[in-house]
Amino acid sequence: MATQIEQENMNRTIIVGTLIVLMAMGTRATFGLFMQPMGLHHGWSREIFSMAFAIQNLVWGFAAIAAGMMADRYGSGRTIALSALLYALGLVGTRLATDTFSLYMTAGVLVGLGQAGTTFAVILPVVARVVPPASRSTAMGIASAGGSLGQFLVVPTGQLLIDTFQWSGAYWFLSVFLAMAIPMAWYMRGRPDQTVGAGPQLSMKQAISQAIHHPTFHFLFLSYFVCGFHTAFITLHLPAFVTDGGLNASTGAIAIGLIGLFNVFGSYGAGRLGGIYSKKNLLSIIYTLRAVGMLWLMAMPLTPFVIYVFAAWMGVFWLGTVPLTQGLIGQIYGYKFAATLSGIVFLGHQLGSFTGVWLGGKVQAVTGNYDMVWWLGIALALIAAALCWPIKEQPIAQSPLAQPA
Amino acid sequence: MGAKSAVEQTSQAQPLQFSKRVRVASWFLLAAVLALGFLGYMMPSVRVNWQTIASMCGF
Repeated sequence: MATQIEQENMNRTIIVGTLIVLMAMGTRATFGLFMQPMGLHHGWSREIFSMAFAIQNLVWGFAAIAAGMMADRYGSGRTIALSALLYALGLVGTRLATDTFSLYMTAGVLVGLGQAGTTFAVILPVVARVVPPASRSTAMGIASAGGSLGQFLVVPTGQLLIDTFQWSGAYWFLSVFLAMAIPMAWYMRGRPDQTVGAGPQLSMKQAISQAIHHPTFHFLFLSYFVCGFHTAFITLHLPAFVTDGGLNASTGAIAIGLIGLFNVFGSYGAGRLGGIYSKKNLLSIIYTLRAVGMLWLMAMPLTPFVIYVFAAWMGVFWLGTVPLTQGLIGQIYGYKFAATLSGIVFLGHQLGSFTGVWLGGKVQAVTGNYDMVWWLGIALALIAAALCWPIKEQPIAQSPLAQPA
Repeated sequence: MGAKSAVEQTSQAQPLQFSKRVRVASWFLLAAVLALGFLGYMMPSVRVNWQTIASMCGF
């Protein structure tokens, strides 16, 4: 029977972790809102903002590994506080940037570094460790849904701030909003205990070596690559796809609202189901159903209804991969180095994002449409679904395949 | 020293256990916030910017 103080501590950690992810993911989602007013003010083109965003995504991917290592070695509270500080400074710096280099260093590098330590790879293992094993997947689903909720809610809120206080004022609000995560990090403090979760007694180097020599880790990395490919390709290129099809801005705005809305339920639902059913089977199902969604878009005539169904469908399966993938990492490799290993797998997601964005643009430029990339997205979804089937869900210490380095 | 740090918990407690009244109120609040958030996407300024929002939102 849990004591009241344990219950309160558990609730507080989940709520604070969820709020931090909400703030970090939500603030990030507002980046596009600033392109027009900042561009007009500074005379910056879309390419300049796109470059800053690309830098941010790559820095986020690589720095997630370092943030995970720092969290596992020096404590999650320090990592989150430092990252939130860098994130807030990045936003202040973006507000004060007067040339493209300073924009790349602030909106690109600083914000990317900040995201690395305030999002899923670092937060989810902390949330998972604080609850009993049977509730871990649900807890990670709640925190993931916080990120989805942030993406969904902070965008219109950011637009309201820009409408009311101009883009420069809105940046101050968002900086303070993000800085609130610094004191909140106190409630996320602590280092993983070897006795919590599965996994043999290994050093960080040995744990990384063990994971990268384990086929399951490759399957998780590659399937997360596909996840990043889908989400980045769809968000970046869906607007042109919809506009080319003759649909108007209202359809597009409702579509992104639907993706965000259904994403909240999808993230939570995936976490909840992951506590009941096999996580790798659920991942397979998610990737297969993504393929069904893209097939729907390819097969049906482009109408607002078809776009809305597609947006809602893909929203359900958008970030549901996060609690399941990170849940599998903790379940198989233990929680001592879960943040580090999550960071490595997350790099796969970001590389997939980069590929999806780049390939979408390239194929559109060569062929004049996105058909080939949609079909590639469907093929990759089915490949990712197939890759998830052979995943061994047993803790690696108990697995007959385990060969610690 | 106050409450234990986040990683020291090993209890059999369940996450986010609240009374039924609090849970029902929380669900209603969440539904209201989600509805309000969705209405936010109907704002003219959001509609005008939807392409840049989508392309850089990281959804």
